[in-house]
Amino acid sequence: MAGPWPALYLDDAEAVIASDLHIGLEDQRELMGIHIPRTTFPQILEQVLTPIKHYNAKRIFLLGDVKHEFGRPSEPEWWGVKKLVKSIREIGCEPEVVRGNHDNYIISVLSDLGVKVHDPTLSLTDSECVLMHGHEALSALEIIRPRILIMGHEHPSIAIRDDLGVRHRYKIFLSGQLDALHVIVLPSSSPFAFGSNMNEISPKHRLSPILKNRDLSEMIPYLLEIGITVKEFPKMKYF
Amino acid sequence: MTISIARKEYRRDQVLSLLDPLVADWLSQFPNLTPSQKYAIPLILDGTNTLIASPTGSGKTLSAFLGIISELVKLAKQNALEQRVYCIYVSPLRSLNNDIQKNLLLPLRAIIMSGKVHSEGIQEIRVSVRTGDTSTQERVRMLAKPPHILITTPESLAIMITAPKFKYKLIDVQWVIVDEIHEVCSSKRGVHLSVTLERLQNMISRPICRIGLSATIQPLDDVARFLVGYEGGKERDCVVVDTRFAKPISITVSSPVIDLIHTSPSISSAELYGRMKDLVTANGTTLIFTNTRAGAERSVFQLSKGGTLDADELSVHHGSLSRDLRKEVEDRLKEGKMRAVVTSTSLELGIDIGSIDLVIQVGSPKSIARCLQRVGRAGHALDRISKGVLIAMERDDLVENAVIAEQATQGKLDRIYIPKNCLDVLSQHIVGMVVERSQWTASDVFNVIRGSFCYRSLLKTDFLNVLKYLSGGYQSLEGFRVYGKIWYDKEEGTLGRRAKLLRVIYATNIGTIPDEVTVRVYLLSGKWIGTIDETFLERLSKGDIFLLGGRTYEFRAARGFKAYVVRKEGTKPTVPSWFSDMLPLSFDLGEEIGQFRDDVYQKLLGGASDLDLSTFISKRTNSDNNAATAISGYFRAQFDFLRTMGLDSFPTHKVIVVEDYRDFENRQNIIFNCTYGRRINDALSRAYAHMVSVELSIGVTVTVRDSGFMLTLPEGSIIHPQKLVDMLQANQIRPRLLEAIKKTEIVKRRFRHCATRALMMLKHYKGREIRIARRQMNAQLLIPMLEALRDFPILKETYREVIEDVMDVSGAESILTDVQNGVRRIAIGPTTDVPSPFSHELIASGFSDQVLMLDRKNLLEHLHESVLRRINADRG
Repeated sequence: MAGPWPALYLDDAEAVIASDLHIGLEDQRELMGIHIPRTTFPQILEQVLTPIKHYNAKRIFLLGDVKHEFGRPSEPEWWGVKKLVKSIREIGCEPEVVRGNHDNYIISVLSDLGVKVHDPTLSLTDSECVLMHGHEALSALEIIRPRILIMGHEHPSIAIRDDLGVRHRYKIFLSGQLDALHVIVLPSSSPFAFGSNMNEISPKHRLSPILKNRDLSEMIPYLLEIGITVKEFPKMKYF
Repeated sequence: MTISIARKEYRRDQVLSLLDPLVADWLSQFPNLTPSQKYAIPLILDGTNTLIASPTGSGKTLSAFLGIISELVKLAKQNALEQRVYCIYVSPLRSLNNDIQKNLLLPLRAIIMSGKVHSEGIQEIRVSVRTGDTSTQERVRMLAKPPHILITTPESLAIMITAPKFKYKLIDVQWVIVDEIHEVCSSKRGVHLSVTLERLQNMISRPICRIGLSATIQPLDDVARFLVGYEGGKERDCVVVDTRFAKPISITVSSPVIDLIHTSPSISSAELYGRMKDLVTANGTTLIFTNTRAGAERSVFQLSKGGTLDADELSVHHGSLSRDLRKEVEDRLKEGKMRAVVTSTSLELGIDIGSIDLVIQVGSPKSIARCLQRVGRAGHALDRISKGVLIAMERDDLVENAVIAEQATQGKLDRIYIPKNCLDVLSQHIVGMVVERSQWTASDVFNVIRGSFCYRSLLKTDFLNVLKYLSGGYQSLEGFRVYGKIWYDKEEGTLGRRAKLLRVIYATNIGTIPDEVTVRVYLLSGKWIGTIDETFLERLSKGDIFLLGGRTYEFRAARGFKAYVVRKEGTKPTVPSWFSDMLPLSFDLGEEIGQFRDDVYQKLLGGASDLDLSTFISKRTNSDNNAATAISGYFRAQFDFLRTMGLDSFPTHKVIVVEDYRDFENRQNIIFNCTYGRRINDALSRAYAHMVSVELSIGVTVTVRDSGFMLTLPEGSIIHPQKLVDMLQANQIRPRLLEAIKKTEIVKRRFRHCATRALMMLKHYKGREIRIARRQMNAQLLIPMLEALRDFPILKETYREVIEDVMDVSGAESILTDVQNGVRRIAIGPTTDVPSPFSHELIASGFSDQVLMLDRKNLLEHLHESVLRRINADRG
């Protein structure tokens, strides 16, 4: 199930799934000479907490890249992560993290906070469904052989022209079969990480090795207007 | 009044007697002084702030320098010249700096040489150029031996006043000359310079004598205020030397053919180039202005055909050519070796190009002042008539040219616009100020800034918001690391430098001119075919057809700043050409065009014959037979058409005629005929489109031209024009427009410019260059985030720049107020499937943009439907 947030809800596990929060991405921009007031954190927090409250979820699985790490973060930079964990627990929910490619130093911080970290995958409902970040190849799944894979990392979006010829960009959920596996790709929860338009970049430029050079034409995009609606569109081959 | 007009014109002998004998001796070799010299030299010797406005070739530069040279010579004779800068000369053009050095050094040397004959041991008066190109060694040398006259650019001056050592060489500057002030003051570059002058004054204990050099512009009192600024809240004194119309001028209007509509384009252009050849042959050295670079290239190509003109005597000069090539053309012009040079805009500024016999303008120059500037290049010496011919290939251009010729000959001018309260430039200066001195009180900073004409009305809250932004405020929550460039103590009201690298950041990122990228376009085979604007590329999707160099291409892919296309002959472009950088028509000229339309309308009402009408037009506007006949035919067609429609009105300055036109695809187009120029029409059209968009919950396409605008509704949506007109009141236009421009390409691009000027996005940081593409990407993502912050100054500035500088929201407001008060009126025509003749060019070649549907949920539904439609169409 998906509401108008960059998150999924799994009924069986009573859990919300969100991905790629990239807390503190502004700090990296600062080092590149781009000064941005730090305003994204409250938005990220809201996007995570709203679906938890809506579904009354017991757990939230964060599919990696919780903090935007680039080199060893300083102490104040952990503030956002701590605040996130605290806020989730305050509404009666427990966070768990699946490790992503940006998550290096965060692991020790999370264990200090008592947050469970899964590396590299998290299996649910008797291994029928597996959660992973998506920066590693499918070979990691060969032993588990799940039916469903839920992943992040790619930050999928789409660009569509309206009748006036104006381009509009949307974050999307991408869902469909890749061989025997049903794959669901989550959009990023960071307002600043929009990702690339899946209908415009070439297959070899996709980020995740799971999606790279694969035929995604039968997959279905769900366009997300955060806080407003999520809408199923025709298959990728029509774009 | 502290701004006054110079009344006293001194006699030649009086002026000479005021100057040092050495200077007077040198000057007496010329039999006459120019009027500007006779007015200005005594004023400047007196230390009076002076604005000199006169045409090119009237000896402006010497008027400004002679008094100063005289004072310096006096000191040099007494061996009293100190090791410091006495005079700063600021010019917006780098190449001009070198030019002026020659023009200044030559007389100076002549004067000193004659001095050596009389008395030995006169001190050397040094003149140097200091710009971004000046080498470190030269800078070091300048520190040891500072020039007495320093020639520089606005940007280099702003860096110099923060230079740890060199600034001390400036602390007793007596004179500042601002050249080409008309060119500077209407842009953010000028806003920047005006504050730099205040900062310089703030470092110096006695008042600097400011001298401005301007071409023929209007209003001079505002330009004077721009030059001198304010002291303690009071306007500083300035005397204006107005010799703008000292030079006789003759302008004729021409059309290559009688009928610009039914004559085939090949015949028209054959006639055009034939006409140009005849003019060049009959007139000696000719300078030809086209409005675009492509037009300049095309003209040279056509003129060189047929062998009438020798290819060696014919050349092109525009900004895309290398500096060396341009220099060569300039030199050959000066030496009198050229018959004709074709240029887009690059030769309209004061570069000395010797004697020109005739100026030809192809297309409309869009403003009276610009026409005078260009035609003024002919007959360079003051006593020679400036001869110009304006040739147009389109009917609207032709009418514009006719009115420009009439106005220019009558000595009327259109007003320029000076931007105000720009918060991005303000941010950059505040950073500059804390680099210059490590601690300030906020009120001192505020007072220095408010000394500039451009910040006269700066609000304290805007100023404080800029301090908040610069000091790392606007953080959503506590606990994050703060990266402020300055610190600001609210309690104490003090501020100062925080970032260690701030001096380097300031020096490497200073300036206001936005960097744009041109994208090179290639065929898939790899053949290079031309360039397009970066922003145009953003509008292209795979499969789009667009026009480049007169041919149509299909866009396939883009990689970095390269676009790949295939040739697609005979298809209609799906994306309109990009006209954003075309010069807009000035409002004052638009009003005069309206007046002219009204006068012709009265003749038509009175039953004038075709001959009567074209005679009237030809006499009034100095148009040749072709031009007068073409204009008369154009107006009669419009008159007859409106009559047939049963409409008892004619589009003039007082009457806006609205047409309700249904096109081939049965879409409703609401066309407003109003010659207010693109800046006002852009504002009006988007405000109206926003009303329609909200009312009907649809997206609307707007098409804008100087002579009117058009709203195109999607098929199936209709609004009655009367209802639309009644909905928009003058006081709503500002909020409507602010909503309408959100999410447009222009806002995204201008935000990048503003953020770069405000040092929010750095061009250069830690020795690296930050690519435009990356800055643009960041800009797009940032805007929605910053929207959430109230009053974030850089976003506020972006919107201000778009609605006030790019568009003219105040002008649009006053038009609607006039309509409400009955000073102007709107006449609405019946529904028709034929647009009126005055609308044809708007429909054919206007600049289009979209006002988007605001309901986000609705938009997604619409997108879904249109995707399904496309899928079905493909299958069916």
